[in-house]
Amino acid sequence: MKILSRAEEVILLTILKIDGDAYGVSIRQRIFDDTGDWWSFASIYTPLDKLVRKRYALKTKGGPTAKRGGKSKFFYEVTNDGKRALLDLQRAQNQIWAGVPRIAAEKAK
Amino acid sequence: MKVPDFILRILLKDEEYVEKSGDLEEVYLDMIEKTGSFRAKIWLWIEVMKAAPEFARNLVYWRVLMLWNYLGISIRQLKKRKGFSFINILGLGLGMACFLLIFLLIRFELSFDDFHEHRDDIYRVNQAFSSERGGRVSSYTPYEIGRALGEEFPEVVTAARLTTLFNAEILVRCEGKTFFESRHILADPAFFQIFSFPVVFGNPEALRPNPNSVVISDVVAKKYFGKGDPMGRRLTINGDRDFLVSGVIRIPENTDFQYDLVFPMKSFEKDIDYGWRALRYETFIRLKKGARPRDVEEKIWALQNNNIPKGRENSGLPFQKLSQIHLYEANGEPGATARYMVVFGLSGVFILLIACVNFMNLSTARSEQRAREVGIRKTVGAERGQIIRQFYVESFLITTLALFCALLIVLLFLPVFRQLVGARLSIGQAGPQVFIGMLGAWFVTAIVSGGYPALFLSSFRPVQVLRGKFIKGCKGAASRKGLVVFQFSLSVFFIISTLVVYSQLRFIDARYEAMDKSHLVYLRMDGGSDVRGPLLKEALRKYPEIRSLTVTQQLPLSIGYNRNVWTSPAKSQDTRFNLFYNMADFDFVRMFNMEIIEGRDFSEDNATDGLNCILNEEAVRKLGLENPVGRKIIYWDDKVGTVIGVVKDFNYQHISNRIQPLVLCARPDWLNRKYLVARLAPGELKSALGHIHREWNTINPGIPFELRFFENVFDRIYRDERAMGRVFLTFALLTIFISCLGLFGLASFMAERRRKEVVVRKVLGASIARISVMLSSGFTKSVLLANVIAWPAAYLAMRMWLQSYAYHARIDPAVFLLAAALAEAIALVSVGYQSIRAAYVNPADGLRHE
Repeated sequence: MKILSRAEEVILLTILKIDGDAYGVSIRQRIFDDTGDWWSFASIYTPLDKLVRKRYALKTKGGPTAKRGGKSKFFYEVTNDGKRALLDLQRAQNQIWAGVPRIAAEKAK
Repeated sequence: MKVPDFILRILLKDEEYVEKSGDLEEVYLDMIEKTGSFRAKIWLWIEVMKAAPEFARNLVYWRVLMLWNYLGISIRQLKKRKGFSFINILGLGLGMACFLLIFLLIRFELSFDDFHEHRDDIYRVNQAFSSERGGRVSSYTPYEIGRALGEEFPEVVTAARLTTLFNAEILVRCEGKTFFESRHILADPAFFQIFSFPVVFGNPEALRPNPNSVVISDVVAKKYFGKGDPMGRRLTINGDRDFLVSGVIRIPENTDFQYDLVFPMKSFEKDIDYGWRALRYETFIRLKKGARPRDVEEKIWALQNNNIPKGRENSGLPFQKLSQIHLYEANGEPGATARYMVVFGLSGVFILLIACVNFMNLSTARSEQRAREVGIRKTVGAERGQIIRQFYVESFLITTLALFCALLIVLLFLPVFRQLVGARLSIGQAGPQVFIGMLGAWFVTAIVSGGYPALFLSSFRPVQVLRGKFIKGCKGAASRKGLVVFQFSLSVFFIISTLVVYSQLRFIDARYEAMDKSHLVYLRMDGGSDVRGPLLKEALRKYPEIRSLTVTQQLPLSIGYNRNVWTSPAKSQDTRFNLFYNMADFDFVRMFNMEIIEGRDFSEDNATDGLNCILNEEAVRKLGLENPVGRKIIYWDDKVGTVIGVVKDFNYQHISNRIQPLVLCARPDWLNRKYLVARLAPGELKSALGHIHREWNTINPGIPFELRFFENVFDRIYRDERAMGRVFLTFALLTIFISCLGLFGLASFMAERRRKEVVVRKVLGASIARISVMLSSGFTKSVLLANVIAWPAAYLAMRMWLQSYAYHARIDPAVFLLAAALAEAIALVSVGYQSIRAAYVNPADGLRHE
């Protein structure tokens, strides 16, 4: 199993949380709300494209919107594969982190 | 924000672009409200710049991936249709080879004298003057011009004059061996400071011969001294002057200064023609960097006019840049070479176009087979751009293979081509430019020949194509026909041109028919042997293999000397005429079978004939003589002679010149007859030549024996015409071959496509002949149409060419009919085979097809 990258993880989680209205602008906004950082669009699109290619996320075309100069939005949702990958990641993380607080505490002394 | 949007547009495909640019625009508009437009703009730029590299990388990645896919498909297509691929590659290869060869030739002609270090500052001084015949510009200038420019003008770094020795061939003796040399020149020492020829031996700085030294070319150095060191060795010129070799230079092929021996002007002091008027010297100057040639021109002209009598001023001393000299005349008009280069260049481009047309035709003819493929591709999501790219990859692949084919052809045929055009070409000497030319030809061919099929095939609508609604044959048929017409128009044009050029060559031969030059040979009596000319003639007279002999000053193929004569009674401005003249033995007119139309020929029995003369018809006209025979003529040396006869006008110069007034005289008191001409009995050539050689060696021991045929002189004079004839013949054959190749391929596709129709017709009782005719009639009509287009174009072009000759053949209407018949026949042969094969098909096979 391939481990998701940090950016992929963040984006996948964000899409999941937005639930239904996830597109470029809203994803970026939500990441800011959660982390206090404005990500550049470039750093969002690259992982997004990869997720779509890996079939962890699904991209669908929405209707045109006047606010965007008449251009359509493209919405993203997390596929079942995507959800499974997130859970796998969490499990792996837990495994990796297991015991770390104790070791870190000992080393700090 | 137009620019960032445009960047995205380029880098992203449709849907991606809509999404990304939409997202950015949404935030951007939001920011304008919140933070103002300036900061929003900056933000947008930063965002786009951050994203651009990633987008670009994606784009390239997918393109390369697809390219491999396209290449694979193309190779599969090539293998699948071997015949089609072969025709395409061979046709394109021939076209490109032809184009490359012509490119080499043109580059060679353009490269003349471009290797001199100071080439941009070198000028030739020309003399412009007006005469009663109108303005003229001569490339020769008086002696003093070069001296004054070199000594009195600060803008001029240095000036050098060139002039020829009076005798065209000199006798060179070195270490017991003797040679005749004709490529020699007298030059001022500054010659080597102006021009920079590669130096083989000697110090380039010191290539300034003192009065007794000579600079020679590496070619003659090898001839004289073999592998030894030539420096300081002695050459004896014409038996009485010694020169020491002071340097050896290499004369490249692309220079107009083709001299093997460069003598210092000073050493022939007695031949120098001082003065401000007589045009005997080519003057070259090297200006200081940044000096304005026009200013110098004005000043030297003023100086010249101050030094010559009032009322005889010249109209200018225009400077001509070194780079212009090879291709332009002294008066600035394009010379013959330049005109030939334009003709060649256009022909090269057209032949390449014909080859491209083959590719276009064959590709679109196959469109039906490819239509389904395109339909499926589009259905599974290929965009039009992708399909266009795929067809371009195919055309680039075929063009690349054709390029290799072309290179092979060029390497094989370079020696033949060299002879054809009479220029010494090689790929090596052209260097990187050939590479660029090759790439250019490759790229342009691929784009031109691939473009039309790509656009045409990619335009299919998948729904129609897959439902089989693709209307057979209608799509592209008209344009295909147009292209065939274009090809054959060019072929017919070249056929007509070739026929006309050859008819002019025949015409030229006919003008010289009376002379019967095939059995004429001549000897040049140089190195002091001319004084023994009469002796030699007497000695040779006794051999029956030699029919007749004469000794003459000039050959009747090229009489170039002219002088003033006066009609009696007195010398005055009104009775002065400038005539071409020749001095020869009494038997000159008989020897060359010239026709006396009034009066009589020179006669041995008439003691006064030495002073008498014969005029040509043109001279009688010009001198305005009513009854020419018996009139008195005052010669340039004040002697007086009588006109005893009139000779019919004959071409004694190149046929592009009008026949000028000519006076033939004997004048045995002038000893300057360097040619001994002999007419040999047919069939006894070998023994006759043996006699001549033996007698020469007895009478002129130690002087090289150089006998030449009249035929060769004739060939040299009409070299350009013959080269043109051969080149057009080659072009005609090439265009026909390439066109037929295409036609053959086209016909085979047509036959295949109309298979079912043919079978149905056969079943209903059509004969094989009828079907064959039906299948080929379309092409026949195209070729006829091509004739209609080519005729007027060829007529106009060839009339223009013929008009450059004072005497030329008429364009025979039969030429057009012959060209039409030829083209039609050739087209029929290439189409006919396919048609007949198609007509013989077994109906059962044809109908079972699906």
